Amino acid sequence: MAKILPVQNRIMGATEAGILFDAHIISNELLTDGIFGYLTDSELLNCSLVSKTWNSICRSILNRHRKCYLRITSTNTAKSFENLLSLLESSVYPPFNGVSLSIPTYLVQKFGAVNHRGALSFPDHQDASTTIADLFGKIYEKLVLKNVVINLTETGTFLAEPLLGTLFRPQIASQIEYLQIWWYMDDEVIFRRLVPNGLPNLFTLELGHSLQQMRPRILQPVLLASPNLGKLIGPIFPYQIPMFAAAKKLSLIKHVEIDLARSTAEELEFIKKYGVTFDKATVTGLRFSAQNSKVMEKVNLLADALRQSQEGLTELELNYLELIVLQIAMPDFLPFPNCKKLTLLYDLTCPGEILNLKWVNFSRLFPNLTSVVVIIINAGRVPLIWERGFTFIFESYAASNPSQSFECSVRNLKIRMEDGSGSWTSKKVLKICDTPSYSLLLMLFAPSIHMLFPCVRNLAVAEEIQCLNINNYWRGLESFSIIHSHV
Amino acid sequence: MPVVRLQSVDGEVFPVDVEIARMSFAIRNMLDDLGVQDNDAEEVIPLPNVTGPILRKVIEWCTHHKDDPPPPEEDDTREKRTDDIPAWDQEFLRVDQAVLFDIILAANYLDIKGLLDVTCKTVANMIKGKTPEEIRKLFNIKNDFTPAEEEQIRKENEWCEEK
Repeated sequence: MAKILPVQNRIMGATEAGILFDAHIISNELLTDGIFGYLTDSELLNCSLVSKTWNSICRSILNRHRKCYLRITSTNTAKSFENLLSLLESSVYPPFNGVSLSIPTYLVQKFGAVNHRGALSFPDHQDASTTIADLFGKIYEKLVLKNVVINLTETGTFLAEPLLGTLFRPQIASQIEYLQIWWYMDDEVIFRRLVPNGLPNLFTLELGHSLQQMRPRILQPVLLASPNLGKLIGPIFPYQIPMFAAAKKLSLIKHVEIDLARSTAEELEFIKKYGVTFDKATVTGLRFSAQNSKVMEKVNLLADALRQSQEGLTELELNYLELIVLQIAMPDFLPFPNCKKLTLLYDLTCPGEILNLKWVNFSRLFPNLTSVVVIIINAGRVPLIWERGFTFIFESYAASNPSQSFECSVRNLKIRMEDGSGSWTSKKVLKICDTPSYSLLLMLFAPSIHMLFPCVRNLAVAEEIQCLNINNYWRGLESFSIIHSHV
Repeated sequence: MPVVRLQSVDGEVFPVDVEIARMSFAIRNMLDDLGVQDNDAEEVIPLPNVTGPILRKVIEWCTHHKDDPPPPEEDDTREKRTDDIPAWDQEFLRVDQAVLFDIILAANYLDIKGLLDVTCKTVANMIKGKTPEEIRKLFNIKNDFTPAEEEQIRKENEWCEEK
């Protein structure tokens, strides 16, 4: 007995490559999504120039699966916006599904003569009647605005009103599904007029780090205007908690960032007052508040906040100094039983302090840790840039045995290493080719948690590093090379 | 080990271990639907869309990967990598384009996720880093844009690109 499978319209194994690709792969959405899904946004844009068919496939993937912004940035001139409008008017299938408004000082100068009413005048253009609001009103109308990024600096204040006021018009604002806000300006002036009336389809809100500094008041109306908000990306800062409470959205909070320098004690108390619990906590700022007389009060509030989420906390991200202080300040500090991932931030500007990590009792604090990420910030880099610098990810092979202690996990390490560009080197190759202090960290860090590198087969180090204790830490080593770096 | 017989469109019959044949969800579903028992050794399953040489390749791949763990759940947030193709697969897929595309179509038709993923990655790697003209040449694709249309797209793309 046998049954014939459904027959497709061709027999596999009988067609020429070029024809086959266009006729049979390109016409199958599952396959194009499969293949083109591996390409980056810019690779898709590049491929959209191949042919009409490729164009519609690439743009369809960008439209459905990616955020493809029309980017208004510092390199645009006022003139270019007029060109943009005519470009959009003759466009059949524009690739954009959103707009990114990034308005630094630079752009304000490039706008040329913009008078106080927001009217544009171009050096080579007599008509000064076009206003930014008019122009962008027309531009927005031509776009699908599912995704919006707002990144405004203080000097862009006078542009904020025409750009955002137009964007927040009901018929445009109702398209927005994803909104990312960065904000570097005092919004007192524009706040009164610049309130979104309704963001009925907004589902995802991403709040940039700058909101820690500037505390824009616009956040509150955005929350109140978004009845269907279902997802937050990025950390929430304690000062924002009452805004989420007012909008009845406290349950959306999954990740809280507690900056001991910038948050006041009153703000830290919001976590307790509103009963906020979270899965992930980021702690920063202790080393900048050492002179502050209230620092111990804040550390205690921090400990209370962490205790409140102790059971549910799965991820903790902090500076090594905070970890040490937390442990010392809280002798009764219970372990985080469900914390799986620990991210430690190291600042190499003060390498002497690294030794202090010996003080941390990892196996007591984090009995079920499966992954440690160490982010190393090199001297001269801005601490805010988390993704820069070098990242080690220690992944445990022993995921099948979650009760294993951290020390045991560490003995079974697989090592992956990420360089600043975001690409991964092969799992079994570790390259050390950055600054000497980087390898210094390896040497200091390694013995402090009894770390071995049993899987590393190939090791390459920078020329300057002469004193690695190879026998102790790199037992499986098969090759060793020196990179001549002259950076 | 129980065996099923897979028959290609050109009549070639391949005896295959059931466990290996079941890596194809299409075959798995059919065996389940038919209630095929382990002792039905004479069962012949015709695959009217796959030729013998391609079916041989597919079986070879499945045999090599029979002990692989199930592929992880799809995760949209994770960046899709293409630099993690195992060395054996890279060598296995060093074939003519026509054969590669046929393997893709067969993997899709037979619903073998692992093979589909690795072949799609291989094609993606062929596309990466090439200019539109190089891509056209590689796949023998005709440029059907007018110069004005191409210019329009180029300008639109410029507005998307991070500066």
